[in-house]
Amino acid sequence: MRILLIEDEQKTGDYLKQGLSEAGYITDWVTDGLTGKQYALSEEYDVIIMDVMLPGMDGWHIIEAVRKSGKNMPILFLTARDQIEDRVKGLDLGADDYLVKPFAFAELLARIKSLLRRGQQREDHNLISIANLELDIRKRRVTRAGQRIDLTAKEFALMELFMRRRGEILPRALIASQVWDMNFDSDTNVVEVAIKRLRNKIDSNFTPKLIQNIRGMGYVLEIEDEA
Amino acid sequence: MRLKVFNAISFRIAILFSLSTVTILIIMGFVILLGVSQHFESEDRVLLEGKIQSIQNLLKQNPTNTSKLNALLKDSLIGHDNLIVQIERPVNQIVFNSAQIVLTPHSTTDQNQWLKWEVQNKNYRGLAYQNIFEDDKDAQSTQIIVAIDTSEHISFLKAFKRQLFYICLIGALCLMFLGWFAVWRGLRPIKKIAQVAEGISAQHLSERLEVENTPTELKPLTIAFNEMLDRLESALEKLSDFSSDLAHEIRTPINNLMTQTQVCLSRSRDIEAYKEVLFSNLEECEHLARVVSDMLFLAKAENGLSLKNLQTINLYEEFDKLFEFYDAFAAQKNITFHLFGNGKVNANITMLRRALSNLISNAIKYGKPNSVIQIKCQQTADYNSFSIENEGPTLSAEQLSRLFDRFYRTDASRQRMEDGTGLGLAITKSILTLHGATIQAESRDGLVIFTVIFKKQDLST
Repeated sequence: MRILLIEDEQKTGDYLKQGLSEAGYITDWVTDGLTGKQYALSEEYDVIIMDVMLPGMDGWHIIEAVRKSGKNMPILFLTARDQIEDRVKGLDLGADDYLVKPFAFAELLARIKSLLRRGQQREDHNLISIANLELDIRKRRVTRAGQRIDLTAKEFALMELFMRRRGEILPRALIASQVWDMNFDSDTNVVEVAIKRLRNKIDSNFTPKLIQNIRGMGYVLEIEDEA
Repeated sequence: MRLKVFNAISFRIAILFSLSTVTILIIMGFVILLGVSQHFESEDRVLLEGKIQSIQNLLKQNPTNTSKLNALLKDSLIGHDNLIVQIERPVNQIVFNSAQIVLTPHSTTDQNQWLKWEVQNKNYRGLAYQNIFEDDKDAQSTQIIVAIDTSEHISFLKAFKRQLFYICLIGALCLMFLGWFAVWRGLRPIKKIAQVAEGISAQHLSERLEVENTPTELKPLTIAFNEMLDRLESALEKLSDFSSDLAHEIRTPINNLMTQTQVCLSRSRDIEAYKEVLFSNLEECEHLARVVSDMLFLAKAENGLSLKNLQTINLYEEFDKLFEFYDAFAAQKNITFHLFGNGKVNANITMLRRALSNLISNAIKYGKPNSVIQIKCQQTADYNSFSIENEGPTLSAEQLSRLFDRFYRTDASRQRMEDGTGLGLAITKSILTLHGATIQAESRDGLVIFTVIFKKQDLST
């Protein structure tokens, strides 16, 4: 998977490139708009990540140029401006997603994954399983080591989210938005408490432990030993 | 510069003032002129009619045209150099003429009409009088024409007109100056206001205009000006309080970041220790990011963020959703929710949810363990309201009044991190204000109650 990163801020670019490379993406990083446009048009990338405010040529023009040339790889833009008009403009021009700075790196990874997944057929199994845990989506039933576990509707939705995106670090804000439709930063550690309760039900009496807390970033579903 | 002069109130009023006085003076002059010339006319008429009467008498006493009559007529004209007389007896046969030319009446029908002649460069006007003795067939018909020199009158009127013109001109100039002076003096209090205003800056906002001795017309302005200063002063005070709060809120995490990192770097450590510091730094950064984004939201909400995507929201459903979200959180303290009634409000769903969520999380945080949070919705003809009630320590009036202030915490010793940004209730209030709703807090007998009222007219918009 190749990613083109257009970011003029040295430090941000540095850590993004490092983070993306470590996550397994081949990353090209350019620092100005003109070079960015040239790369985007001449090379083949799976995703473009770019800042909006760039020297030489701003992000909007690059998005326009890329879409005009007929390339349809996903584009994700980063903006420090929390203006709704900005987001609307970017999405109108053909960008696929955006992140407002400051953002959690885990959030960026999650967005990239979901952008890459887009278009691919979603495997819609009724039965998803990991280790000895089974989730029957149609019957809304969870069993662990053959033992039935009672979950509330929201706990089940949370479990389903984890199962569908196993291996992905899910930031708290993303979980709150996907499971409870709460699209703002909640003041309290509500999500933590909810996940703690879920872990009590599905993990505490069983091995291996499945839901892992990645401190400062979020939660991930994976078999303990893999980590 | 020219524009400036034309724009000045004093200049404009002075011009208007002098224009109106000139108009009045001109009208007055015309009236006087007319009066004077009419006066002259009637004076002349009286004189001439008297003369005609006396000549008629003479003619009656001397029915024949003799030289004696001629002498008598001449005598009667002595001392009347400005008069000329022509007598015809019978008509068209001149018996006597003191003028050098023959005077011919232009019309004989109307004996009251003025006749005009010019003799030796002098303007004369006169009357013609015909007498036909119908009762006495022997007597002959006569015509008497008497005229008077009006040159003097005319030159008098001419001089009078000229004087009137000068009076008008000088009067207009004087009044213009006087008007300007009066307005300039009258507007002096405004200058005073300007002087005070000049002295006002952020550091000297306490200065106020004097209301007592201000002219009545300027009182509303002065009072409004003072009130504006009051508002500015309190807003500025709030702002500076807020800036110092903000500085404190931001400085603490930055300080933590710096010291932690510096201490960590002071000697080499094992990987776990570095990791620990990085995690801790990350938490501080997250807190900082949240403070900044909350601040940004507040700033936008208070600077007239426009409300978009308004929709009718069922309060019952909305609270139910929030209960699900806070279910696990409340269960920790064994707190349960109780919802009464229902209501509908018109609002932006994301914003309203954020406002309600802050209220509920607040109620859980400060609620007594094993208690019930009661939410009561009410609908009346005029408004939709709901109240959120939790059991907890009773708050004093002072605490209640500051509850919606930014960064205010009822318990000063409360841990910063676990308490969020300290902006929750401020955000709730600004969201509700944006929706035209009001929020009030009260506290008694171990209960804390927040009441939110949506006015009905806001529903229809």
